[in-house]
Amino acid sequence: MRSALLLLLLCISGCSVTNSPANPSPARSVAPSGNPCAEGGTREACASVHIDGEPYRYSLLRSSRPTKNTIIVDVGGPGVAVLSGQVRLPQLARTVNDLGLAYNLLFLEEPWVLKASPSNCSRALSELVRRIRTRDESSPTNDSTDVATKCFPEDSRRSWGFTSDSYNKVLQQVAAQESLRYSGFIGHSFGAVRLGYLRHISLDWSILTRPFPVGVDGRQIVNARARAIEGMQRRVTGHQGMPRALILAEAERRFDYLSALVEVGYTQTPAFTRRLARLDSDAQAAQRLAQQYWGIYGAGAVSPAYLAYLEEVCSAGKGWPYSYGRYNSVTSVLEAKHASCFLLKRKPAELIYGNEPRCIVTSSSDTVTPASLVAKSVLSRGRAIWVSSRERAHASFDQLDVCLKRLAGEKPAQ
Amino acid sequence: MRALLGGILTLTLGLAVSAVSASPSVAEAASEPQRASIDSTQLKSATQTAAQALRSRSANPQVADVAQKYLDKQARSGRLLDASDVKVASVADPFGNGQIRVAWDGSRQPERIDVAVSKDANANDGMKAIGVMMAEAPDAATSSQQGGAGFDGAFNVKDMFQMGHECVELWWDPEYWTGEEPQDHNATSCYEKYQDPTTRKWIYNRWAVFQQAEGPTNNPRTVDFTLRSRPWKGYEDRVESLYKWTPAGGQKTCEETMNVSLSFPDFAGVEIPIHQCTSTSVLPDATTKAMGIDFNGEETGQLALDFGAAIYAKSADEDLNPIYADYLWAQVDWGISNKKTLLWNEDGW
Repeated sequence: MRSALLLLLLCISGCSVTNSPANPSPARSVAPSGNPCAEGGTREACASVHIDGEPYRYSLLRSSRPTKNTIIVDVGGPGVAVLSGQVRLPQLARTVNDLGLAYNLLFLEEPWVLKASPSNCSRALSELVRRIRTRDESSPTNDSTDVATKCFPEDSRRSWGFTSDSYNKVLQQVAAQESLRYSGFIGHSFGAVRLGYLRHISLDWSILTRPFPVGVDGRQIVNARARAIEGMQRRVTGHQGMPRALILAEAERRFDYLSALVEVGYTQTPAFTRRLARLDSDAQAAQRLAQQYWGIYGAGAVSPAYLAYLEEVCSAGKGWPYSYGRYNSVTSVLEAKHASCFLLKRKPAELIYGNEPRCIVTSSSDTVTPASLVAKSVLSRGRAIWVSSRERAHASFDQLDVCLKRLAGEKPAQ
Repeated sequence: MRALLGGILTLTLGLAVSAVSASPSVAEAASEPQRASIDSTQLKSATQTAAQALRSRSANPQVADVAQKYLDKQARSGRLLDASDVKVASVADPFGNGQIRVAWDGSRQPERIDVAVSKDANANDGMKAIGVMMAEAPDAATSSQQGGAGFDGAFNVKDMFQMGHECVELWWDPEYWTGEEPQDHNATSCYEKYQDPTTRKWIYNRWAVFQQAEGPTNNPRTVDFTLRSRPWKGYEDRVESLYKWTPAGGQKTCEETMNVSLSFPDFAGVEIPIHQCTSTSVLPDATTKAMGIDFNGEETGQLALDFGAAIYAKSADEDLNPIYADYLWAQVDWGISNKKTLLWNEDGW
């Protein structure tokens, strides 16, 4: 009765000639632009290509001196929204320009940003992370299976992360569309895996900053990261691991605290020390940082960035933990983050590395890819120039300019 | 009679809205432009957190919908916002055409929404514009850097740290038919500010996107799209001077982006992606330390605008950081007569 009255009143006030102004249907939308770059509004310069009918976006920052020579820049991930403005792509162009180098810079956006997330997949992912947070000592069998079937159906035309196949196809098409020649590759962290995806691209040089430890067993990666994080915590706060006051707290609180410790490792100065110091006493600060690490947003939703992470990271290495222990050590949350790999049944990616001149930057205080871990990687077997960074934060591109001067300054063979 | 029913309608929907500077009657809005505002008191009373909106979805599904849309869109841009940190408000259009829905994050609050309209009796021909003013809360600026989750990195701004980054998004009903599925006009506006630590050097950067609703039987065009920023009321003396701004002027087309370096004499600075438009003019004002950019061409698709301003604060103290208010104004003309009249020169916002 009430809604009928409302409808009557609305129509009297003039709705018959336009859209019903207070249409009770919630299904209102924004105009489809037909341009992939208009979806969600990218902050960075944007262009796109289509592969098998699917759009892929990229940002090409051309050198002020016209050239075909182009550096493929992979800032790592998986789970980064490269064109959003958060990565600040033009800052690298400035570095390259300041060094007097003439290269175009190409950044590819990961597929998950434009991939629609079916509601049953979003629900399954949200439920998986909710249960991981509230339940320690487990193997997330049922929830992971649900994510595997709802979010990774076999007939999907578009993956969340890149595959070697999609990465190469996009690069080839962009090169044709923009008349580019790929000269160099800068890969940060997971960018080292993507360098191994390349096929039929002959590079003059490659630079890897804080590379993912390609070829190292997943469990070894988890353990080395946990040691590095707890070492960082001890140096700053004087204690290591779970504070005594939290040992008997519920699983969520311990999970948040430990996840936040992992997350702090990404933080750059000056926020780093402040954030770390607050963790012991500020449950809300810990929860917010934990949400960042797990991709939790809104009211318990989880970003599809985590699906891209699982898809590519699970394939990049073998031996990821398939269960996790009680949340009383950093190891347990790192185990939990990767435990679903066991059920996703991703084929291991075939990573092939060329023998182009290479420069690798590592940092012994990095808590995501510590230098000691990178030293065990297959990347350390080939010839490379090794450069040390004293910067702790994993996100940093510190010393990239040193590598660029060493490798990119030489004129590539035409 | 119609005005009375309009009043009943507003009360029945329980929305705190009134036209404050023009008549809300559709019948009277024939050709003369009319303008009305929704003030901060009305907006505050309609505001709830996204968490509340999502919990009470059945009471107002459209508000829950925009809350979820905002959260999802920001997440796809790498900003993971908690539902309790996002606010939403839905207010009735003062001229009776549906709802204006707003979502935003951070400490800001919409101070005012302006609506201007001019249309014929059947709404087959007309113009409508909406403006929103956001005012920054005078909290101490703190680092707003994003973390990571995988094996990734981000490029540092030389010598500067991001000390604030917030967005606001609006959806409102077009006055024309948009096809079988109802579409909204949609505008997003963001700012970020950077400081060279312990100095008076700040960079204030705005960007915004407007997507007009399609009109299969009309010819809707965006004819005015303006971004303005100025020191907020009561905090004007925190800004010493407007040192430099970008872009200097319009070039190329509205779809291309070029990166512009905005820096201080000793190289602290930010590289800013700037969309290029032929029909824009910049609106720097050294006296009021305000900056803006105004598009006055015609565009049928999505339109993006950006500007950056390098400013000197009075003090290097973070607690006395520059506090700005932002304004966004977008006008769509859906008339077949192809007249181009601006509903309001909003320079006195």
